[in-house]
Amino acid sequence: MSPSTVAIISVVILVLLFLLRMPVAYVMAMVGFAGFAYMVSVESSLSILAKDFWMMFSSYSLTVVPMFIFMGTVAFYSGMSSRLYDTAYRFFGNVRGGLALATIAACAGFGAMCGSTNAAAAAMGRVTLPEMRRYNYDPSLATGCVAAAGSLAILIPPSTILIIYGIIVEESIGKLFAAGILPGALLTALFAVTIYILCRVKPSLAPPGAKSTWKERMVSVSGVIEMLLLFALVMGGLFVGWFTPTEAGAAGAGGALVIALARRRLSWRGFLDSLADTTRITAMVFLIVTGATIFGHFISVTRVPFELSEWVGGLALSPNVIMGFIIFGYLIGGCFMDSLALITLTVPILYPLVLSLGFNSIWFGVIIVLVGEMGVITPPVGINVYVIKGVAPDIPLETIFRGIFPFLAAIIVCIAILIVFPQIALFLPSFMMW
Amino acid sequence: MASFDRFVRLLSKYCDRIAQAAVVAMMLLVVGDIVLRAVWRPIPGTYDVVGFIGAVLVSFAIAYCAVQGGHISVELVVARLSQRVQLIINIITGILSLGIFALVTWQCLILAEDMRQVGEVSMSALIPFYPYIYGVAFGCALLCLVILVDLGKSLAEVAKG
Repeated sequence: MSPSTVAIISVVILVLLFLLRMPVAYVMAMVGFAGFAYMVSVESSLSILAKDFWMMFSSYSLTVVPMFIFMGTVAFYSGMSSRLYDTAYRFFGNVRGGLALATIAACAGFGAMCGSTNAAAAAMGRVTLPEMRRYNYDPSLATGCVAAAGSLAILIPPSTILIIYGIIVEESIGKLFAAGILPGALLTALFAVTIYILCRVKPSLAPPGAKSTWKERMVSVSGVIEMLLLFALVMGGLFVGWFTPTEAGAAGAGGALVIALARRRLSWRGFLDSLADTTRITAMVFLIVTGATIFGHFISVTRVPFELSEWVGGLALSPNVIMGFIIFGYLIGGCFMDSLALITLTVPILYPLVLSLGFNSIWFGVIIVLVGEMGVITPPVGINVYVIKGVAPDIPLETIFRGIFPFLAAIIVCIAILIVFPQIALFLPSFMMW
Repeated sequence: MASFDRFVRLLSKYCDRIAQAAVVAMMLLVVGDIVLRAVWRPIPGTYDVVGFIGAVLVSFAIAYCAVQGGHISVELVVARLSQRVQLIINIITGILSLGIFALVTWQCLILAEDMRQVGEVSMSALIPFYPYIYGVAFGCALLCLVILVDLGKSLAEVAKG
């Protein structure tokens, strides 16, 4: 059997087992293990299995995930989220879709403190979902918008994906971070437009609330101040160089605890609940990332990604058309694989092709992040959707996946705009010396 | 059976408490490192220790996450099938799940023993790896027990008819 046939059969088995309700993480680990054993040898597959579990579980860079989840759960159980959303509701509540718009803005802001899409979706999901549900938002729109907007975290610096891309292609991480800022703002605006259109077409999705008086609005602003303090701590600390992006998670969690205790808003029960939620979501995310890594090792030995890129590179087509194919390939690949695994797997293969086609490496980094954003929300393996499911277990997975499609369209529009106007990504880095 | 079920649940719950303590320990260590680095000098070996705490956190949390149904699966299709077919599917996927995590447990034990014999230690703090790999093996073994209990329940239901 040819390696590509093995890869195709294994993807079919993967999807079949997903549909049989076997946990996604278990399936990826099992199929990845079996495939690698078939392609290479049982012995090496067994030894890689244990090493992958150990490497992922003890990964220093992944420790930012539980820390930002903890920060979010503390913010949630100390009522910061409710107060913040109360403010948002006071200001935007009388607008249709106001809370969804506030969610997008908050996710963009949170993205500036957090470089991991799963952590952002987990934290912001905790913060925003209960509020949108309290105000009777359609569950599909509410979950879809958080799952999608949570992905802004990897576009708006700091970003784990940009860091890993920078390491793979030996490009300046400072420039890559600068390159993410304007496309991040663009995508935030596109998400907002998406919500506006959805609410125009179907007003019942996001019911408008009562209009607040300016006095009520001003009183509610105190709820934002603690959030701004936390923002200032994490962002300021990063800029000044007090701590690294990985440490920022712990700093944020510590800051959230201090604020909650200073305001006497966190009960002992709430503290224990926030810890319990943190371990549950962390366990789920880590097991999925580990499963995706094991599956990724198998897919890379089938050489399917290599053959695919060779085939695309051999076509006599214009660079933009080939880039379109590459992006389409990522869209499909992102359906079945974890974005981070997919990116670490394919960037080394596609990078020479992309450069030879005349594309800029920093620009391609931003495009990779955007395809990664698609990957984390597309079914059946969209990690953000599962993270949101972990936050709101009573909402069916299908409902969340239905909600992400309008936002997926927004990401595709963003990519198209960046292909036509690469300057949006390249303008800010051009001012940077390092 | 019922008492075994209770034992596994309680054990995973108490292990999850250890994971929760690890969350607090990780935060305190990193924050302590940041603060002490600013005013005096960094805590030596923080990088290594934070990774080890992460390993404890995740290993001790995966089983209780499974008890709570926290590991994500696709509900789409199976929920629409008859109760009996669902049970049979649960048994098949349960056996597969048990198989893969039994392998992971076994291999982690071997890896831990190898590391112990070689005397492999972390880069800066020079802490041996193997106890933590035993920890990963323990967490996976506990997850196996949780899967086994669920499998037992499905088998009992099918036997009852």
